[in-house]
Amino acid sequence: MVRFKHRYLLCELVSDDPRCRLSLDDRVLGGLVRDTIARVHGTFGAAASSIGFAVRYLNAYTGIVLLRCRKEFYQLVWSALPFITYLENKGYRYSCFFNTLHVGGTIRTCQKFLIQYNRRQLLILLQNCTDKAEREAIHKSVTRSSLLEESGEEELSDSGGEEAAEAIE
Amino acid sequence: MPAPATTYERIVYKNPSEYHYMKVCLEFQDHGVGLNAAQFKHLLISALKDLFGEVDAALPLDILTYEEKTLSAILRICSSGLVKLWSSLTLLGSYKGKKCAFRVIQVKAMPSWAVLVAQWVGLQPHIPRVAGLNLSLVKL
Repeated sequence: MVRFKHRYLLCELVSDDPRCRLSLDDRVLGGLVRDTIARVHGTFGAAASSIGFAVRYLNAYTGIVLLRCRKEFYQLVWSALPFITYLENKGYRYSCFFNTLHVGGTIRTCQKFLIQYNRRQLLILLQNCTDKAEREAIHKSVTRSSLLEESGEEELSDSGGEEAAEAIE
Repeated sequence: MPAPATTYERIVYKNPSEYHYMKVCLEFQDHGVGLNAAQFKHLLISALKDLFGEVDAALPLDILTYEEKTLSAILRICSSGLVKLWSSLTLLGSYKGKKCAFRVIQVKAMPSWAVLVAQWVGLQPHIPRVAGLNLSLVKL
């Protein structure tokens, strides 16, 4: 069949500063990625990757970003991501980097991966947390996510658990 | 008596060489512009950086010979970067505000100007082996 094929890059924004994730904006991020591709791959790269480029999903609490690009040029976008070293917002510069978690052909495969990844992250948080109240909250999120395996509500409970963990950090 | 039919032989190189060699000449619209070797190399790298970015501006590019009077040079580039270098030279339009153009005179894959297609009458009895290359003969 004739259709435009895309690649979805699932990335996580890693930063020391907790305010960095909250200042994520899809337009700012899209502009930043485009500028970086223009710097790293020149005029050719900027033009080739900007045809099907879009920021599809953004989660400010967990710092998860889903980028879409055409299948022919996804390697240009992927190779330019390590060159992003800071995020600029209202004059403040936060140093950060993008960690690519998964490359998928559809949004659904990326969502499946994200659900499993969040479950694993919750277990890691459970090991690392120190406060008893937070430990109970995370424990509740973990049990809820493993009980609700068939329904699609894991993401909400997971992000709730992440939010609680973000609050202590 | 009819003339003997000519037989052609085609030499096919099985190992493509790592480098390609380009003979180029830089022409300016107005005369009297001179560049030394360092400025010439900077011009080439900035042409690559403009079109293909910092990643491809770092391609291993060498200037083997350079003549300042005629502004001609022989460049060596790795084979994967030949197309990129050639297209960025094509699209380079000006140097410090002055219009210029690159003329590509010759492109070769081998440093020695060896003849790639030979025409023989009859088979050649001994093919000299060049170190590192496999030559296969195809008789048409």
